[in-house]
Amino acid sequence: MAEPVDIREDRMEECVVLFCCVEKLDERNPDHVIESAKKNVMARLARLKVNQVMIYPYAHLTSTLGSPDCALCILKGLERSLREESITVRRAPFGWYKEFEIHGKGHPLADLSMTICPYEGTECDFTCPYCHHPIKESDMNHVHVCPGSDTCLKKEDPVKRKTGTDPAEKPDTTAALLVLGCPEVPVQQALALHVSHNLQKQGTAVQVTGNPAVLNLLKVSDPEKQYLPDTIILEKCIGELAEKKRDFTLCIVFAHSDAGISYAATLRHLLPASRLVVIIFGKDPEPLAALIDFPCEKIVEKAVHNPMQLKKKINGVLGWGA
Amino acid sequence: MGCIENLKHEMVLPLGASFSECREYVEKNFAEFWYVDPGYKLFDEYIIGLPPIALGIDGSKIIFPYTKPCHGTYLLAVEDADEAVRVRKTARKKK
Repeated sequence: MAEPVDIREDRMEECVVLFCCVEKLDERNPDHVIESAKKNVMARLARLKVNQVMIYPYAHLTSTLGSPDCALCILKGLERSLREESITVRRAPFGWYKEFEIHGKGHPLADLSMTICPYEGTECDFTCPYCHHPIKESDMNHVHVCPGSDTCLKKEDPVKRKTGTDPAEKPDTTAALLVLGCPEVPVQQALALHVSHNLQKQGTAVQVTGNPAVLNLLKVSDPEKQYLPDTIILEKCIGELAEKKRDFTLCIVFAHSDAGISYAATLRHLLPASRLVVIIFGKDPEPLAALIDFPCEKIVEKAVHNPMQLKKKINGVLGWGA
Repeated sequence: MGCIENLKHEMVLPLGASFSECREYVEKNFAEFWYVDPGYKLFDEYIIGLPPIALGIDGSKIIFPYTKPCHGTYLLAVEDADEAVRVRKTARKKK
């Protein structure tokens, strides 16, 4: 479906370009998707101190495309709702192959991947890709209501767009996994928050895994999930990695015991192409570090209560200012 | 590996054994042993450790390392004829 166009060429400067894609599950609750997208985009614009937005439909970001009618409805809804917030908005036409030139700033805040979960704030009794689980077929068939547009009806995609070979279609792998050990060494939790915060600042999605004890401690420290938005129990995470349901470009393992090294070795095997950083700490980290004979970057520092030296080393290895 | 704790198990090496000690123990003390990689499914759970992980088989008993984040590694033995057959079919002989 190609949207009729009058303007065949346009430009915008000092703006944020939103490469947007509407997915199948978004059809369940378009209003919520529009509202949530607006809030998230507004928060980002405030941080960047930018008030101009170019909405650019980009179908190649997913392999579960929503219907064109509903996609256009949601994109128009986002355009309208941003305008209501006094943002200058332009929207590239939907359904066209478009030539574009873009110039971005070489800055950590310049690029960001954002997923708007259609179930956010509601309790779902099934799994969805946003929780890194398979989509239930029955749920996929349960579409769709798209208020605000009479043309947005339940029907097959007439264009029958298929996924191609564009690299942009590959799953988002700019994600980091933090693997935490037993919480008995206090610096671990503090440094996990520090690492997660810095990774997110540079636009990397972070998933944190550990046993229930350590995850509970972190949840108490971060009740609104500002620093650790996404957590998963260690056993489940290992299972999903073994079944190739997840992938990460960076894996950081906190190890202060033999068990921690076992987990690091396991992660090395399950994520062979990822950058693996093993942080070895505790009262006596050197003998533990000597057990590692698999490829990884090691950060070794005696640290129990005082995280400062170890933090400095982590910052050095991960390229952050001290 | 929570459910393994609920299985009727025998502790072959107590807590504190390193993963390499577990491997050496299996290789030295069991005539039949097999190798698997981390993430191998045993008793419906995924095995953790430094590859290759040695699993011993003694009759219908499987001897395997079991790692808990807050404790360390144990070497456990669990009797299960069907699982032993499955290990023989799916694990490898060579490191």
